[in-house]
Amino acid sequence: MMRILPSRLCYVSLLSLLLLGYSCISGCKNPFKTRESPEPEFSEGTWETPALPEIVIQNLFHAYNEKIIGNFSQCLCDSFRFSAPEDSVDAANLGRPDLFADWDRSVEISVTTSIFNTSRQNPDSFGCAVSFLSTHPPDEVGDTLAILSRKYELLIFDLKAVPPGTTLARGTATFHMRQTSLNWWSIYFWNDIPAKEGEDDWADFKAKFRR
Amino acid sequence: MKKCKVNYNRTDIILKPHPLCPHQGEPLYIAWRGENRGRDKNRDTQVYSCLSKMFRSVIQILVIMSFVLPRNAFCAQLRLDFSQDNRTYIWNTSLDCGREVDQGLSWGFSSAINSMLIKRSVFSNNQDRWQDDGKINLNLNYALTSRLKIGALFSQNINSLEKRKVTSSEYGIITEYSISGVRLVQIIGGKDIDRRLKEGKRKDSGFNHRLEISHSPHIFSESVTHISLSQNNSHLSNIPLLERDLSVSFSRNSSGEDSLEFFYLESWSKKKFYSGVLTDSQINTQRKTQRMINLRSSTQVPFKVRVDFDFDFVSSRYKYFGEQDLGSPGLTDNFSDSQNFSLKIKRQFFKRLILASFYKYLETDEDYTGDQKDQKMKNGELGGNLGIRISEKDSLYLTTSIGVTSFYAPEVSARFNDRDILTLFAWGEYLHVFSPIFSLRLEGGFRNFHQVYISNRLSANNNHNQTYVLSPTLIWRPHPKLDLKQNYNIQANYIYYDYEKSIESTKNRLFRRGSSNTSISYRLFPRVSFVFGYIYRYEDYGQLIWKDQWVQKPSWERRTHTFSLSMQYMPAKSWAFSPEYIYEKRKSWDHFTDLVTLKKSRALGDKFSRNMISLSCKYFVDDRNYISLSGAHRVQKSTMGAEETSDFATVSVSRVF
Repeated sequence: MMRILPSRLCYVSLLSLLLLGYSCISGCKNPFKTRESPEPEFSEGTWETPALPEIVIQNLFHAYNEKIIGNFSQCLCDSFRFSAPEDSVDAANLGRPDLFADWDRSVEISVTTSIFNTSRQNPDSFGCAVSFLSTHPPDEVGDTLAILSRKYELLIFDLKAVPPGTTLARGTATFHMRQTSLNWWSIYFWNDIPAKEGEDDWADFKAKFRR
Repeated sequence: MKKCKVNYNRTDIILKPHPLCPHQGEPLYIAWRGENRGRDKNRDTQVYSCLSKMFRSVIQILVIMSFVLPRNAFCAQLRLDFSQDNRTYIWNTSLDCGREVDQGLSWGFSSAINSMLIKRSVFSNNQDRWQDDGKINLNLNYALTSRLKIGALFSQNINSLEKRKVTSSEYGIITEYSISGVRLVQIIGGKDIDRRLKEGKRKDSGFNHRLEISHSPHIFSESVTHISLSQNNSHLSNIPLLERDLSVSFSRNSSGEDSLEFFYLESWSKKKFYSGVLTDSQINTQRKTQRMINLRSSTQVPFKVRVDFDFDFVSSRYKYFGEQDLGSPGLTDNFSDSQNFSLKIKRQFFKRLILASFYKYLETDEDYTGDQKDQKMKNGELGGNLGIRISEKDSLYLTTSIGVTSFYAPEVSARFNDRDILTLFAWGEYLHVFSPIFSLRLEGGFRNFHQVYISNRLSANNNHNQTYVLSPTLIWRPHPKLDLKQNYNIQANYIYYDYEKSIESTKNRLFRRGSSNTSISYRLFPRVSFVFGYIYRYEDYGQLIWKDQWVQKPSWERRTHTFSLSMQYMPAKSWAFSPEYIYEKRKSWDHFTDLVTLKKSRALGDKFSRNMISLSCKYFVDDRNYISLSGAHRVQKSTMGAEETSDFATVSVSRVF
């Protein structure tokens, strides 16, 4: 009798714990339920299934110009890194070697959200639009890895800046992509180089929005 | 008893993106490159000649030192890597060595140099583009007494690209004093930073002082406590830097089962930096305050349940002061807090079943002092996994998780980007061993990614992204010399938009892929083996239409055949040669539907072929002592573009003396 007592105690404790857990869960709202979403009033947003590396570039282009952060973030891998070697040397020159350091996915999303929010809230005074040029080096597309380089022009207007004005940033962005069994093609490494030494490029623009 | 220390942790040096490099007494290949910069003539020959000269010089020095000096008094590790990918050449070299010369007197040297050359770069108007990063450290230590050590140190870093160059040097006298468990380290010296740009140069130099006090009190048994306080003061002429750090760490491991680790850091810094053009720049000040707390605990509670709890908290405050109001978005004062915790529960039953469950929570808050850029993010994830050995021949592993990530904007005007992302994930693996020579592995999984925008401006983008995968693999060894492996993979990816399911939307898409991968490996002799591989892959992509069930309207399809044949040959115990040939053929078709007759047809869109031959050769003693060389030549042709020829080469040398 004494031998089975601890075992019974175990079952009773476990049952009590389960009942307690169930009553807690049933009394609370579902923590994994998403918020309600209203019917769309606009049909903004262009995004295609990134079944090919080229489509990732198109999605990035549309997301950047339409300022939709959700579509932009789907272009990036969890292990994403951004590198701007020329701007990094410039930043080190100016005494801020940390400006481009440790630029991972969370930094990229944070920076881009800031750009998109600033642009969407001040459409008359701030904006940016990117375009990729049709001439580019040949794409390197393998089985699960791909490297695509694109020359770009980024038009930025900032009427609140000192002095206010329009800037044309030009350069070459090299996107290293991979595809995994449960994911589409996405960018794991983005390298940015200005068109001419010392000129403004995409990385310069993004760095202004980093802390 | 003489001791020597070698830093075997190579990742610190090799993986650093911008390591610093030597400048004093310029290394052979940098000097050589400086003389020849801009000349395209015979560049390839010069590059290889440079590499071989550098390699030979370093090897000669090390071989002489390792023979002349007593073996137990000198330690060194050398690592040389070279790779060429078409017009990109990369060199990574590193050397660590140290020696205890006499009782109490020792020296250490470490260097790492990384260089990259892009020949006739399309990014630099067809000019050769060089980038160098590297560092060199030299230190000398002498123990005056058991409590007092004195020494000298010198370090130099270089970071250069094209005509930009930043060289920083630090030198100083180091004193280390220990008393009653308290260790006091002081470095007094100087620091120079030389910045050169196309338009001019600027030099900052000044006095440098570093003080570190640390103590490891013995508070509890089976525990280690460490308290450290440090201050770094660089009195540079224009951009002084002052940093202070306080850290406390505690770790306890009781009876090898339960463990507790705690780390606390309080850091403060004030630094000045230039903004604008270096030759006509203004000076700004950044004040940074950072607090960090990490807690890791693992314990066994009643019913043999193991509970792991982790907690991390990071808080950062950045404040900027300028010579004048810059108004730049990059110089906005900002605060950020992030905290996350995870709770894991694990229990093993009858040495056959392992059941585990976890909950993770992450919260971040970015505050730009009332700016419209303020952001908040919350993420919660619940999951579990199960591993069971059903019998001696069967085992099963299942894992699943559900999580929601929510993004909020505190400012009402910025809430159009507020969104939730629901992620559902499930994966299973089943292994059945029919016999010691024949087994089956079955893998399958599902992932659902549901993105929900809260505002009606962007809710048109709300979509489900679902992926299903099933992948069986058969492994058969009919003969000790023959291995056969057959893998099949079926994958389907559905994307459909929440508000467009009922209409024939062009945004709803389906991608499908099926592949088979066959591998035959035959060991002809103990040191010669052949591997033949064949991969067939079918993919199609198209519109997804809802007619009581999902129906696909294909846009394109693609079929790929890949053949590979490789040989592994080991003429001696330490030598391995591996030639390989790969041929790939791919055809893509575009699908059309006649709008009048509704007749479906397809047309060949692209025909692609790739031939690649490669050879690798390796001489190895162990994991840390080896030389490997590999090269590949690839030709690929597509009806969409011109024929492309590419060459790749890598050389790696690792040696521990």
